[in-house]
Order: sequence, then C-alpha cells, then structure tokens
Amino acid sequence: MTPTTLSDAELLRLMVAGDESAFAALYDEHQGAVYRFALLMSGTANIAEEVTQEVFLFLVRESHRYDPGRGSLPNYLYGVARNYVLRSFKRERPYVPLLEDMEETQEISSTRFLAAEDPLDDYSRNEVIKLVRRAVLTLPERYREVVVLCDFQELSCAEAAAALDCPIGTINSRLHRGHAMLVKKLRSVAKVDAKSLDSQALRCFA
Amino acid sequence: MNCRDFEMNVRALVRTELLDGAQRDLLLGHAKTCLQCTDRLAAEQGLVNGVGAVVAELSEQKASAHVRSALLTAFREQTSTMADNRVIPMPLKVVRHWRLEAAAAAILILVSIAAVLWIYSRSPTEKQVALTAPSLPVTAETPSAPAVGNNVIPEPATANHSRSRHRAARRNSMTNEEVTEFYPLMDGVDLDSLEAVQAVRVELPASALNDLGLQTDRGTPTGPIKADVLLGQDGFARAIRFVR
Repeated sequence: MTPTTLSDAELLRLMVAGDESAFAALYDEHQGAVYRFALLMSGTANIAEEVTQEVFLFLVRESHRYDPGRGSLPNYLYGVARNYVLRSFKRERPYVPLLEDMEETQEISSTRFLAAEDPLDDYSRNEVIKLVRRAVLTLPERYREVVVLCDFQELSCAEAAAALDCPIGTINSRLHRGHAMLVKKLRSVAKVDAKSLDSQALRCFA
Repeated sequence: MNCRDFEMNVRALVRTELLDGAQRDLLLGHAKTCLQCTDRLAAEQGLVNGVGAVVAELSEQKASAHVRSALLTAFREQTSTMADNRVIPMPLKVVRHWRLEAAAAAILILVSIAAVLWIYSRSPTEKQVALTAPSLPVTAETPSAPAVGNNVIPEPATANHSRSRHRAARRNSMTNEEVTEFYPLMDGVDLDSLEAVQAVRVELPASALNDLGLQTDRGTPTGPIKADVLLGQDGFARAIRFVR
C-alpha cells in the first residue's frame, strides 16, 4: 500500500514513526490548501510560504497535539495556519503599508467587474480577481478567516468552526457580516443594471 | 417577501443552496420590484463570481519546491533527534542510580567525618575521664569502690563499649601502676564515710611533695609526679595518692 492511498490518520501514524514518505504524502496532500489559505489571509506569497512551512514543521514537532476526535487533519492544519498567519500579522504590521481603501478603486468600472462573467476576457478577469482579493484583505481578521475558509476554501460552517475552534453560530454570524462588508465594498464598483442582473440570475439558476 | 427576508436568503439564492423553486421565484420577483434588493442581488452575484474566479485562479497555487525540501530536511533531523532521544532513557537511568549512590556515599562520608570529629572533640575529656577512670562515683552498689589503700584502681562501673583502643591500652597500663595509699588532705576526714568521690589523675611538680609535708630524697624524680586526688561531692580534695 503506497502512502498516497492511506488515510490521514494512518499517514500521521507512519509519520510519527519516522516514515518520511508518509510525511511527504501528507504535505503533498494538504500543503496547497494551507498555502492558499495563508495567501488569501495575508495577500503575500512570502508569508504564505513561511506559514506553510511553519504549519508542517509544527505538525512534525507537535504531532501529538492533534486530536482526531476534535476534527479532521485539514481543519486542524487550517487552525494552526490561522495562528501563524495572525502571528505574522503582529510581526509584520509595523512594516507593511496599509492596504489602499476600496474607494480608491472606484474608478474600475462596473462593466470591468462584471466582465468576469466572460471567461475569454483574461485581463478583466484578472482585474476582478485582484479586486476581490483586495476586498477580502480589507476585512477584519476575524471576518476574513471565516470568509476565506467558507467561501474560498469551501468548508462548511461546522468545519470552519472546528478549524477556528469557535461555535458554529459565531461562524454563521461572522460569515454573514463578512459577506455584508464585502458586498458593501464591491457594491461601490459593481453598478449593475437590473436588466443584466435578470439575465445573470436566470442564467445562474437555469 | 420583504427586504429583510430577501437579505436573509440572498446568499442562498445566489449560491443555489437549499432553495426550492417557489422560494427562488419569490426572491427573484422581489428583486425585480425593489431597486435596493436588485442592487443587493447584483452585488452578491458579483461577489460569488469574483470568489469563483479567485478560487479558480488559486486552485493550482502551491508552496514552492524549496519549502518541501526544507521540510523534508527538518523531518529527517527531527527523526534522528527522536531516535537519539529513544536511547537517552537508559543512560538517564544509570545517571539517576549514580546520583543515588553518590548521595549515599556523601552521606556516609559526612557521618564518618562527624563521628571522627566527635571522637576527637571528646578526646581531652575522655583523656581526663580515662585518667580518672577509677574516679566514677563510688556508690554503695559498686562492689569495686575504691577503698583507701587499694593498690589497684578499679574498673569503671559503666564501661563504654565505644571507647577507643588506646584508652583500653592506657587502662591496661594503669593497672600495672604502683600506687600508694590515699593520704587524707583534710584533718579528721573519714574517707570511708564519703558517699561519692571522684578521683582525678593529676601531675604535680616534685616540690609539691614538700608542700604536702612529705619527705623527699635524692631518688625522688624531679619531673612531674603523677597522683590521684579524691574529690568529694563539694569539689574539695579529700585525699591524694601517688602513682609510679
């Protein structure tokens, strides 16, 4: 049986026993999610890589802290990553310039934002991606982490609650509030006419 | 359907979560009649589209290869450290035993030193006691009470088993001494009537014999002369005898 066909728990057990291939398999399986979470939270590839490295180092050195009864390994890794991201914020905050307020991007036209619907328009799509990512980065951390986990990492509220170690109700309220804040930021640049909206909605639910 | 209901369900509407057709139609119908909710729906739709675009963009993003190699290196180091740690308990156990033995040896040495110091600190006193070994209280129940005129100094009534060998040798040498009878130092003293006396071995200059009214001749040594002095309970000397 190759390491890649084993469950996380089995891989973890092998890793604790010193099996390097098991650790490599765990890393290959989960590093992408951890990296993307850190990248969306921090907006910086350097921090994301640093956090990814710290998370898996923590897994190697403190593997006994993982309790399978409290959640899956990915959720546990998200929780560790979140702590390292917040730690990096505290460390980097004095040196990182504040993100530009979303109002400064209001010159981006609504047609450019909605052009994300057009998969052929790569430039506009890149603008949309940039816009959304910047909007996410302006969220307060407690809302940002929930939005990133539930919307971008596609975790359920229960999984996010396990990862962040807080009640589901808190996750729901933070997610709702985070969406409202994001929408408020994006609404200023996304002036959509009702006509195109109808067509989008119909297309969406068709 | 009002704006509050729309707000509560717009997220599910856009994400097509848990909504049946009738409820969806209600929400869309409300959005057509309410400009505010139309904007809200558009913004939510834009958010979902934007999130989808970001997710698609980042789906292949991963940490660079050097992170992986660094982690694998760290894992090997950690594994080797753990392997070393597995060997450690045995030496630790040995060290722990060694410490116990060292502590026990230290205690033993300290006790020995204390015992030696105690013995030597008692030596002058014991010397005196040894010299006055026969000077233990002479009681009625002591059969070997020093009777005046006895030539042999009696054994101590309460022998201490821990006394050192040299004291025993000295005692043996004392038994070989020649002693005179006790001469009363105070007139009218009946030595037999004393309930308890203490004999103290002293060394007197030869001239002291003259002070005592004893005649000396040329054969009398000029050096110190040994003598046993009997002391009463009041500490006054009652009698004296000379030792050769």
